[in-house]
Amino acid sequence: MNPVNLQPNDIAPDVTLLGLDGQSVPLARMWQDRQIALLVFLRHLG
Amino acid sequence: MAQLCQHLPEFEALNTRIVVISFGRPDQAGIWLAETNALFTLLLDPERKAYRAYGLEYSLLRSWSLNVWLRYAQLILSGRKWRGIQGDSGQLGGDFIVDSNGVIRFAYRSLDPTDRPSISQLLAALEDDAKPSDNKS
Repeated sequence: MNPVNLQPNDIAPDVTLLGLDGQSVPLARMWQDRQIALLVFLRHLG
Repeated sequence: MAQLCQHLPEFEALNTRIVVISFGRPDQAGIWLAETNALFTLLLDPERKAYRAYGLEYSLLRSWSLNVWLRYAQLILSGRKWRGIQGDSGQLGGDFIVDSNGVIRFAYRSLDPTDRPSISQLLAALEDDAKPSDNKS
């Protein structure tokens, strides 16, 4: 069982991911500039 | 994912950027993007840091339940191309809406691969969040 149980009104965790070009991208950049982000975590690319 | 593509204008109208996160390799991700024609931002998480931070579960048992096999069979019979398994099939996914202040407005962790929120659920959550705060319950 995963101990992390984020709920609405919690602060979204920011982690550094990679763009397709291999550059580091802070996840928080996705919801900056007054924009909302829908994060879709894929299971796999099959 | 195909449904998200079809409804992309509705998400854009609600000032929402769709960000797809995968733990796949860059070459696999490039192929996937080309095959699906997805117009989303795609970020890679090879170490699954974000998957852990957002509490997404790992379960081989639920990933390959009878329900999942039946769903795959339906998709293949309907003409969907089978791309094979790319990577670790035990990792489960999920969907989160984060507002421009970095606050989670909607959280959905998949119990198995067939369990995803509907487009209408996602749009309803966004529309609800767009309402003035004094109208919220």
